[in-house]
Amino acid sequence: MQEVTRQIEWNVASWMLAFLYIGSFLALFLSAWRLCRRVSVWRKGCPADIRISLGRALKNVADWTVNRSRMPRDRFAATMHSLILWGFIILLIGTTLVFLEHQTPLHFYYGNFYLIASTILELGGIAFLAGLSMAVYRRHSDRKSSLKPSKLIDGMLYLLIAIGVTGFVVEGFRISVSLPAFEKVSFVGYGLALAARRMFSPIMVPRLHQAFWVVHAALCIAFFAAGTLYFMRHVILSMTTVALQPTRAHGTLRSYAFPTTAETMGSVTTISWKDLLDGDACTTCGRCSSVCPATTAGKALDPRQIVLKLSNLVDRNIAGANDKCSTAFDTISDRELWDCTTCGACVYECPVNIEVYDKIIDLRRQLVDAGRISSGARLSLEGLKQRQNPWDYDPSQRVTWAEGLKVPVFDETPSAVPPESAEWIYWVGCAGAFEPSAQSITKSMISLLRKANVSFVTLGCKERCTGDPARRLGDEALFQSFKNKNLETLRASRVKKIVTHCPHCLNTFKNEYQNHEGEFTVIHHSQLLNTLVKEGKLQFANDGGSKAITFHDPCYLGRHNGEFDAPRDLVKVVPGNQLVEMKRSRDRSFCCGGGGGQMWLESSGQQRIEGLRLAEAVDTGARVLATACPFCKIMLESASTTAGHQDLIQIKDIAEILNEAAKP
Amino acid sequence: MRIAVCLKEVIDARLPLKVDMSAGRIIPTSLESRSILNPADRAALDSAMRLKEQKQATRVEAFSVCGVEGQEALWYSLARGADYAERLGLPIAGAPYTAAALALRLAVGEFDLICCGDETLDNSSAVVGPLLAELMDLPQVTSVVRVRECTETSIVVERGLERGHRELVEMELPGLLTLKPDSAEPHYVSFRRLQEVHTRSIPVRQFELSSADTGLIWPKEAKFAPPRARVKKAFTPDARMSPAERMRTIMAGGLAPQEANSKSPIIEGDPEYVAEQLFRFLKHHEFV
Repeated sequence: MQEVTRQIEWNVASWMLAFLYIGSFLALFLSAWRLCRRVSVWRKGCPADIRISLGRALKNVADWTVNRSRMPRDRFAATMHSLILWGFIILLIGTTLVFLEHQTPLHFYYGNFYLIASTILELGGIAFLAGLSMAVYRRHSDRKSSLKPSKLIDGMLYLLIAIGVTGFVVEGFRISVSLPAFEKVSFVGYGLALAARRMFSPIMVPRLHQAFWVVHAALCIAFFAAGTLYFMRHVILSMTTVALQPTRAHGTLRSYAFPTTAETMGSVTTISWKDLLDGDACTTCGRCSSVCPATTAGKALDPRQIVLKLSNLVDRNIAGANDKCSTAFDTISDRELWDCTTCGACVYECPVNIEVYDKIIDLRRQLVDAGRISSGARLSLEGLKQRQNPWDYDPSQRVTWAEGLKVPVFDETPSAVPPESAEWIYWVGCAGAFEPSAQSITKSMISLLRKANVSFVTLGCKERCTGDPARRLGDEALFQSFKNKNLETLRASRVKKIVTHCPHCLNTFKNEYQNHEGEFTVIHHSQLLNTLVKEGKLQFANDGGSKAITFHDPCYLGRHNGEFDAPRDLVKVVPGNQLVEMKRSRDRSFCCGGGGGQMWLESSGQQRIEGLRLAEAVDTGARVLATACPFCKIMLESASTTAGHQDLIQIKDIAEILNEAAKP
Repeated sequence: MRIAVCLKEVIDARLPLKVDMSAGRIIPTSLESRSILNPADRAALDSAMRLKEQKQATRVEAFSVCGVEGQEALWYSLARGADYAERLGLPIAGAPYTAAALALRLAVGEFDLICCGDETLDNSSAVVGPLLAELMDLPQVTSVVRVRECTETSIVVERGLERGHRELVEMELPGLLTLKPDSAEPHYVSFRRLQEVHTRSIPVRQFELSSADTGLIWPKEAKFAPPRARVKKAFTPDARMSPAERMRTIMAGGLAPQEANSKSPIIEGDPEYVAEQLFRFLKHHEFV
């Protein structure tokens, strides 16, 4: 009986082996050299704010490998990529086993191990080819417009398919010589072997085997050589971005303190090495762009392009090492950077955890430092500087909404309410204090808090902006000054629990005032109201009819702070209310267009983001569009006025909806 | 080319003032921490800095006649990119004295161009610039709305006239410009830059401006009588008036409402009607 194994390098002449080994070595050397040149450019980048242990990094990679992280958000792509990836890994392991068996004294490739390994390799090869076929189908059917047409990527796909097919053919020829029964485990190869026996004479088979072996080897060498070219870099580099996944909360912007001068502005030395690495690790899949509200509305911004243009900056630095003039701003226009709403959809969607909008904010910071900003941004930042609110309202008007409401205000005057007696600080926020359509949220909230007998205090004129717009518009130092002043005020009040109806304030307190660990508890009004409802402190009456209500997830409540259910529960708690979901909801919610300082920036592009969102809400047939953010309310109301939908759909904060239905 | 910019920190008049009704006076605490760089001076600084950015000017220096409380303006100028800032201390207040102190200081600086704001938000006397030019015996262009081009020896500017007219003026250098608030797109100065310059101390030069000093700069034959602003009865909007009535009153210079058959008709009515009438008017006069 023939031994259950295979003769390694059967029919392989020594020149063929030499070709394989020398070619592979040269190709891998070329790839490594190309990568080293890029590494040398990354090293010029400024320090990145990354503190991560090796264990954590490995855990990130393991997590990603097992759970596939955000890949399953697109089922087809996830399946396709898993097939290619696992097929590739299995074949790589198989090839390594063959190499070990042949080139080292180890001897294991026989018997049951051989049978099992052969079967797995066969399955790996099929998966590999199936995944690649799906990729080709995906690129050529117009199903996904987010993919960029690229001859290089197409070429790479066909190259990999050719490697897979020739691999099977070589196997088939090898088996066809003796056709042992146990090789039936390599079912594809066995099938091909049977076909080869029928088609070719026994003399031809070894020759064809040699020819295909050389072709297969040449294709593999070509693949090794192309391994670090353009999008193929992601095979190696995306592992690093996954490993270095930021540990900070989703809504936290990273700090950046790299003062730039007019000479260095936008050069690689002002961009963190992580951003340059991210650019190179991008898979160019375009999922960030497919969910970006700015791109959807036809604005200049395309997040994938921002990432790729940083990779292009690395290219330009390699091409002209002495040319100091190449900066990120050569290719990235100011308009693109100012279009971002910081909704975070791109970061949620990126399969390899690239921090997309942090790059945009970092570049904004450079623009702001150079004074290159639009008048809208300038007025807002100067309003913040001089009047502590981004709308540039008179700061003494901060309490006019409370006229006649006898709202408890924390003040240093002894006659005022002693703050210690209050359980909560109700942080009104600039929108809630100044903007008429948000003032009604504040008033509803005051009424609800009173109905539920919650002891609370407001800070009145001591309140100032949390600094969120300053930070997102790119003036980091201004944000820091707000942070320090606000922490001082909050400490002076001696109240430890803060409730706010503004998700932007919530996010800033919770995620960006990092110093206050454990010092304050900050929650969103939807969360507090939900607790009050569950405790039975708020009761609701049915006003008669049933109403369909749709809920718009504010980015800074949902995606950035993970609160999707509290506001939905509140909508449903009022008898007669029916919650209908929009096409895009929860973590796939579509921004209202007001975040990231957009509230004060001039709108550009073909469509308005808030208009697109409102249309989606109208499509559900709901009569009320509920939201939980004053910015969303203002933006969507303006969209409603523009579209003339005031009679069709009402835009209300959940506090307003509850207050209307709450029993006294 | 060296440019001097004259700055002043003023009370932000765009915010409502708190008035003590019984005493009829502004409550002083309501003026705290609401001073800003005078918008016209800011435009003067921005225009000068723009010339520096275009490599026309080599050095921009900022000066302010003020007390310590007013030096925020000088810090701002440093943050904006001025090469030097100096505070001129002066015990006497008033536009002529300010101009005299500036003239004494700027005479030693060999400046090719002096940029002043057209007028301040607080006193709106609009005389410091012109007085300064006269005292230094320099040519001057007032109410500049745009700096067009600049060479080593001359500068071309647009001057704003009444009713939106413009005048193109070329002036030989050295000379003095007074600039309108909207003559330059305001430049944003980041908080980091402001914080950075606040660690720098601003040099001070004290001026006594004794009669001997003033004698040096005011012509002997001219009697030193500083011009004084005379306040006329200003137009005060009356909430009872309709917008059209208010327009009539403003156009009549605050006197009795104009007659209905005057040259400039006032149209009153709903927007559609008004727009149609406006269109007819424009068409009649062949504007469209």
